[in-house]
Amino acid sequence: MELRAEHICHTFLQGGQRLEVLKEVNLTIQGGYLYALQGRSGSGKTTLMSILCGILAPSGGTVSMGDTVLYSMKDSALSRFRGAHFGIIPQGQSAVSTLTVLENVMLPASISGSCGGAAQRARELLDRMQISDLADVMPGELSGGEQRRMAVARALMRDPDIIFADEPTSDLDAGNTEAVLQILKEEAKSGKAVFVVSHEDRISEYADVKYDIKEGRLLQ
Amino acid sequence: MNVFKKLPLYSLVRRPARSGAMLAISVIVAFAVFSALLMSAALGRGMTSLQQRLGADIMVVPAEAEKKAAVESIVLQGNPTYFYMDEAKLGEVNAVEGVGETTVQLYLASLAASCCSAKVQLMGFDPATDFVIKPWVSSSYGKELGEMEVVAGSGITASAGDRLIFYDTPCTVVAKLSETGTNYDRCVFAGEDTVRVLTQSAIGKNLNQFRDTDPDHVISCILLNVEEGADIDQVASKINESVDGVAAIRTRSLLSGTARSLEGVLGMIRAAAVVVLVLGAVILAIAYAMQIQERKREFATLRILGVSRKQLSAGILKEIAVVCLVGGAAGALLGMLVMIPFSGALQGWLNMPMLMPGIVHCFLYLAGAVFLCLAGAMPACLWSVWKVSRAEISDSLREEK
Repeated sequence: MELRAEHICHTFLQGGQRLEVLKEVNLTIQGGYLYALQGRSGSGKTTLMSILCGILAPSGGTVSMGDTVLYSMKDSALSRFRGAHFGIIPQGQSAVSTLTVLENVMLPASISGSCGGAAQRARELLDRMQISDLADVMPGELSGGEQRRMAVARALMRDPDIIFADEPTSDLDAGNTEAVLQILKEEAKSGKAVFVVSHEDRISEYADVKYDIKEGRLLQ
Repeated sequence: MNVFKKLPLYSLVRRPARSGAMLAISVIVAFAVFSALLMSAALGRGMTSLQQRLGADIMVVPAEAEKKAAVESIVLQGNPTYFYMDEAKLGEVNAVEGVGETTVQLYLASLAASCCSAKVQLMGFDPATDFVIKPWVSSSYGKELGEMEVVAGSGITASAGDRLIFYDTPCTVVAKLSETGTNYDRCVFAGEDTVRVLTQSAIGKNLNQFRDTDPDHVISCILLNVEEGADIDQVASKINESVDGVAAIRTRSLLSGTARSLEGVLGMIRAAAVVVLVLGAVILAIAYAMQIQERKREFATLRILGVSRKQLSAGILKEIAVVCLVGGAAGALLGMLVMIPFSGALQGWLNMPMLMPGIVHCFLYLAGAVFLCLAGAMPACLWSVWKVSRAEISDSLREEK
């Protein structure tokens, strides 16, 4: 399954002025590849990722997956689609603070209503992320690296087609950076599409396809 | 285990300080609303009970008694007193056009002295003609009251079988009446003959002044209903014109002052409850707006995991509803625990008839208070909930990064 973004344009209103952050962006994301999107701060990387993963409607253009055009759907359908097909790792802390690590990882399955075996799968993912001993800990007690691993485990919970990760290694030490990127690479190798937005130069070592954004345009 | 469904509950239980503050506001609002509902009901019931106890269209008393406001003293203020007129007045009143059924009552005040068990109002009624006291007494004591037998109001510290002494004359308590929430609860009722015996005992002790009247032929008041179709005010006027030395008082007018005071008190109670409800709703709305703002990133995270706007709104509203329900029920229960035991003190403080509703009605008011708490808080929070559910997910994630 591939995700196609065609003629994507996006403008923001900033200080009363229209700011065109994305100009005619065309992109196809396919399973089995790790895509890296780089660019300087404010270049529109996160905006593009948000548009691709169904959380920000573009000012122009379409995003589609198979026969499904993302932003033509109603919110409830788009939300279901997003939960079923995308695993999203947002930048920074994204845990629900009133749930334990295990419950946070189980959350996507609970939202979809498919709770059977969710706890078992969540424990396996935590084990894979090497934080299984933290399953019953509250997220506030985790380090930045542990939180990021938890977010990766949560993104993998429903076995999505595409994983979107926004700066998944920011604020992480070398060991945690290596571990997170390695997991994402393994997911790409297993047939998923992985789309990573990062400042990190080391992402180049893991990426199959590299993009750069300059002045709103996507460069390969 | 469906974590998502349990999320509102976890949010409340695992953030006790945050939930506690919201709960405290709900408790205060529900306490005030419940207390207001219960007070309104109790005062209303007390008034109705008093009207029922007066149970006649017109009360005819010695003119002197009316001037001295002695009638109000007995009926409304609960101060034991007495006043008398010649029983011949009954015949004169009966002769007035429009007068229907009549009955007489004889009052005697006991003393807080060694000769008496307690200072109470003794009310004698004529069992043959009574239509006011007898039906009420019958509900507690099915038989005719015998000689020196009395029935005690619910506020009298005596039980059936006990003996009460008035002017060194013993009387047997045969029953205790149900509570009315009025000053009648602190009266002792007996047949007219028994009160007449006690009156003679009082006279023997140089108490209760009769001046020119013959103590064997005195009455304190005549209670009457007008004939069907007759105008109560006109009949009262006719009695006042044609019978010397008496005052015919319409019972409704006797209660009008109390009714006015009651309306004033009820108005104040209801206004205070509305103010607390509105203030509570505003405080909850502000508190939830702040809390929702603080948890914006958490909600955005839920959205990226596949939660729709509708599901998100429902989840937040569920959380608010749980707080309002739990806090509301706790506040109303607290109100019940405070109001019911202290109703007597409140009645004394307000100096108004007050009759607490039964436990079933209390729980209905509890449900009403919880509902009002919910109805006040939920709409007030809707704007914040709607706003956060409509927020751009990417903006929420970016803002709180």
